[in-house]
Amino acid sequence: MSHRPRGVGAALVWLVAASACGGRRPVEGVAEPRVEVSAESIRTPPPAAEPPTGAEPLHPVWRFLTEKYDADRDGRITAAEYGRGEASYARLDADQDGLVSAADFAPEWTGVPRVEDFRYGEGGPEEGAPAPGFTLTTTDGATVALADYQGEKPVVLVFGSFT
Amino acid sequence: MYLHEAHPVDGVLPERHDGNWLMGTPERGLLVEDPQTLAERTALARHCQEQMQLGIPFLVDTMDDAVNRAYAAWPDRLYVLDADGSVVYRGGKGPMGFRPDELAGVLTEMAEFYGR
Repeated sequence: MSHRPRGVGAALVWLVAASACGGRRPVEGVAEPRVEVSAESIRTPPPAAEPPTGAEPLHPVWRFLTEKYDADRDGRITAAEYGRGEASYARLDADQDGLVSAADFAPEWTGVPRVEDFRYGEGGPEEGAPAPGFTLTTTDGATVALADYQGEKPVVLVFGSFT
Repeated sequence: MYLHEAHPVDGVLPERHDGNWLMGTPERGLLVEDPQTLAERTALARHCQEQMQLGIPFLVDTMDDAVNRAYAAWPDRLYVLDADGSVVYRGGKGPMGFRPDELAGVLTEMAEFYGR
């Protein structure tokens, strides 16, 4: 936390987490990966897709999945092998042929979102407005309520996720 | 505050540009399934916490994403709350609006206001 100014520590409660992605700065010359999504655009493959060739390197996600879930090593992951539910399996099955295989990670699916990227709007409480309360558990299993800090110290909230 | 996973293998994949993968190979350990239970979400948040070594508590949002919704926090965002529970600073939505430098400025002003 190199941005943490001197002398503030005692006045602050660092309530929450940071994101591996959150502090990321866009790499010059590389477009942001986010794709604008509408209900219609989901699962709409780009036209004139070439079939994968043997020379294509294995998609890292496909490699990850086969190593973890393809128990019989037949190059396909069945729903039973995957075992994480229909919805998640269906998202992996990009070509919707009912079976997760290397074809679902072929170049034709590059950039095609498999799930709507929900963001819960643009708003949130405005400056000067009361912060919505919450009671949550920590990674250590403790229960923490925002109200516990009210009247005590300022609070920094850092929202994010791992990837 | 750990929210909803941004780029799980069964979600919105960070796809490749110019043959380079933006994120994740099995070796780098950034490929994860979307957590389906609070226990899985907590385990992933704990893993993130260990990787990041930030030394601050990590809270985990509930599976209905209640706090994510209340703060429009997706995919990442910064807030500063005053001691009276009001919002002092609402950062932009990440990743482009996620500005630790703005946060530092707000905290410096607050420290001066409160007389350190």
